[in-house]
Amino acid sequence: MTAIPAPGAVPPPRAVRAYRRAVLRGHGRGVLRTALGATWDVVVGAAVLGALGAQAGRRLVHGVPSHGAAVSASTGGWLLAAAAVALVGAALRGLAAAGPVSAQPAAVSWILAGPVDRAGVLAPRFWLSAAGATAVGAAVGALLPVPSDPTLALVLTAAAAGAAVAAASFATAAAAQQPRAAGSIRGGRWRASVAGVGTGLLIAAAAAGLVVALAGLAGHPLPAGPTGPVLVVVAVAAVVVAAVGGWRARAGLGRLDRGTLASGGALVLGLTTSVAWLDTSLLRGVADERRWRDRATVRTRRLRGSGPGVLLRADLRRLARQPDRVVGCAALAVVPYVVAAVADPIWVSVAQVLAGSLAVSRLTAGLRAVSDQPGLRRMLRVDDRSLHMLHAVLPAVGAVVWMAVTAPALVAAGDPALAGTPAAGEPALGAAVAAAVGALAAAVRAATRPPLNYGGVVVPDVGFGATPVGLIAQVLRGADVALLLAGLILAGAGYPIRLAVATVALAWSLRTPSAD
Amino acid sequence: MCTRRAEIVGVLEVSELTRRFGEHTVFADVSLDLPPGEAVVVTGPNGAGKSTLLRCVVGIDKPDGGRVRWDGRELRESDPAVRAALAVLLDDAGLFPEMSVAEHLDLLARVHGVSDPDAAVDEVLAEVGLAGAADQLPATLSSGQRQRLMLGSCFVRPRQMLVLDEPEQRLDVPGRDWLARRLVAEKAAGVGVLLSCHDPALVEAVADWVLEL
Repeated sequence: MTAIPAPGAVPPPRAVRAYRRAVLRGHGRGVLRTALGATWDVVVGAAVLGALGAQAGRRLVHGVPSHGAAVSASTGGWLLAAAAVALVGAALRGLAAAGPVSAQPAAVSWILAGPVDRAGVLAPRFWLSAAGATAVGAAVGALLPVPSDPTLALVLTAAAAGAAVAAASFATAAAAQQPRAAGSIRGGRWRASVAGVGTGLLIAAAAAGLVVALAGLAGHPLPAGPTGPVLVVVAVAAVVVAAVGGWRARAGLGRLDRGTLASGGALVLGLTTSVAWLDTSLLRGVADERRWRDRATVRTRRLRGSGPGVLLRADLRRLARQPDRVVGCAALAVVPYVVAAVADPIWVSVAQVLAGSLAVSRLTAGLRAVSDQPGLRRMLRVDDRSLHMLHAVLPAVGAVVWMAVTAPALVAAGDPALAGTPAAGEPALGAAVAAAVGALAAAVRAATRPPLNYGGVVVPDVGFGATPVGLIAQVLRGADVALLLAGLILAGAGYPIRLAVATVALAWSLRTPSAD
Repeated sequence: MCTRRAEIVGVLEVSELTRRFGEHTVFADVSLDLPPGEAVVVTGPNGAGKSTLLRCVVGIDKPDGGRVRWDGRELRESDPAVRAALAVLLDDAGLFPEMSVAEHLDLLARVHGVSDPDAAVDEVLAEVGLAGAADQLPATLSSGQRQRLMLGSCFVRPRQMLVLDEPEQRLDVPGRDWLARRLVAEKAAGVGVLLSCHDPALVEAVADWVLEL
C-alpha cells in the first residue's frame, strides 16, 4: 500500500490518488475495473439507443419514395447540417447542466473536503473527460454524413470538425462552471448563458430544418453549400475556442466548490443510470432539482378564482415558467416535415405519432408531479382521477395544436403520393386526430408511470444482467403506445382502428394513473 | 405493540388496527376514537411503528387487520370529502418545483375554497416565519423552512382534523413553542389532532390522550 505523508503535511494529489487506488485494489475493486464496468453499462445502453436511431435513420433516408421524388443531395446535406447544429445545441445544454467537471459524492466528502490541492485532484478527470468528449465528437462527426454517401476526405474532415466542436463545447461549459458569487442564492450566470446558446442553436436548427424541408417538398431544394471548406472553418474556430476555454477551465479547477462538484456528480450518476437502464426519470429528477435551485426565486403571482379549476390555471402558470419545454415541443414539429421531404410518405404518419408523443410529453410536468407525489395529491381537495384529468388538459390542448401544425406535412406527403400505399385515401384530418389522441395517450401513460419495481420474474442475462420483466414494461410505459400505433400504421391499419386503440390506451392511463 | 382505546365517541374511529411486515408485527389491535377538539399523541422509540400507524390511519398504507372510519364511513384516502377534512403532514410531502412558497399556499387556499385566500396566505406566511421566503422555490428551502411550509399547508386551509407525523422535527426552539400554542388553539377551535411526537414538552402541552407504542 502506498504510504501517505505524516500528519501535518498535506499529501500531494498524486499520493491521494495512489492511496485510493491501493485501497480499492485491497477490496478487490480496481479503479480500472470499476470504470470499465460502468463504461460497459453506458456503452451497451448507448449502443442500443444508437442502433435503433441509426436503423430508423437509414430506413428513412433509403426508403423507396413511392412518389418517385428521390431526395436531392442538397436537401439531404442541409438537413444533416441542421442535425449537426442541433446536436451541438443539445450537447451544450447537457454539458451546462452536468457541470461538466464533477466528482462522486464519496470523493467530495472524503477527499475534496480536506486541504488537498483540489485542482491537482480534479485535473486527471478533467483531461479524461475532455478527451472523451473529443472522441465522441469525432465519432459523431464521422458518422453524421454517412447517409449521404460521402467521400473519405469529407468523413475525415467532418470527424475533425466534430472533435474540435465537441472539445470547444466541453471547454466552454467547464469554463462557465465557476461557483456563484458569495451571498447569492442564484446559480452561475455563465452556465445559464451556455445553456441559452444551446437552446438558440436548437431553435436555429429546427427553423433551418423546416425551411429546407419545405423547400424540398415544394420541389425547389436549396443549392448545395461548400461543405468541405465550411467544415474546415468551423474546425479552426472551434480549436481556438477549445484552447481558450480549456485554459480558463483548467486554471479555475481549484476554485470549484464542493457543492458544484457534488451536484454535477449526482447528475452524472443519474445520466449513467438513465443510459444503462434506458430510463430518463432519474436524470430528469436530478436535472430539474438543479435547474430550479439555480433559478431560486420567482415573482409570486396570486391565482384567481377558487375550486378545482385553479389547478388548471396553476398548471398553465408552471408551464409558462418553463418556456424551453414549449420551445422543445414546437421544435419537434419540424420532424414530420423533414421526414416528408426525405422519406416514403407512410413514414410521415409514423414520425407524426412518435415525435408527437415526445412533443406532448414536454407538457406533462404537472401531470408527472401529481402522479409521482401522493403527498401532493392528498393536500388537494380533489380525487385522484379528477386530478389527473385536470392535469391532462394542457397536454391535450398541446396535442391538438401540434397535430394541426404538422397535418400539412401529411397532406404534402400524401397528396397524391399515397396512391398505392396502405394509407391511400386516408383523410388527413382523421389521421391527425388519431395521431393526436395517440400522442396524448403515450405522453399521459409515460407521465403516470409508477415508481420502478425491481422485483418479479426475470429474463435471462443478455448483457444488462438478469432483468425483471415488470421493469422492462415500466421502462417502456408510454413508448409502448407510440410504438404500437406506429406498427399499426406500417401494417396498414386505418385511422379508425388507430383512433380506437389510442382512445382505449388514454382511458386506461387516466383510469388508474398511478396504481397499475 | 400496544392496545389502548381512548373511550370517546368521535369522528375518527380506529378499530383493532394491525400491521405486519412479513413475520414482524409492527402493531396489533390498536383502537382509538378521536372526537373534535381532542388530541391523541402517539409516542414511542424509533421503529415502534408511529409513522406506519399514521399512514394506515390516513389510508396510504393498508393495514393487515382492523378498520378506520371517518364520519361513520370507511375512510378512503382519495375521497374528496376526506381530503377536504383531513390536513395531513407525513414524510412523503410533495411540492411543485416551479411554484414559490406563497403560490403553494395560495393554490391550497383556493382549491379548498377559502373565502379570502390572499389574507389567509399572508397570515400563515407570517405565522410560520416564511414571509421573507415567499418568492423562493422549494429547491432552495432549508429542511426547517420546508417543514414550516408543510405546516403552513395544513393551516392555510379548512380542516376538521390534523394528522401530523413528528411535526416538531427540524423546528428550532421558538418554532416548537409556536407549534404547541398553535395546536392548542386548533383544539380550542374544534379541530381533532392526531400526532406522533418525540418532544415531551409538546406532548405535555397538547395531548388529551397518549398512545404509547
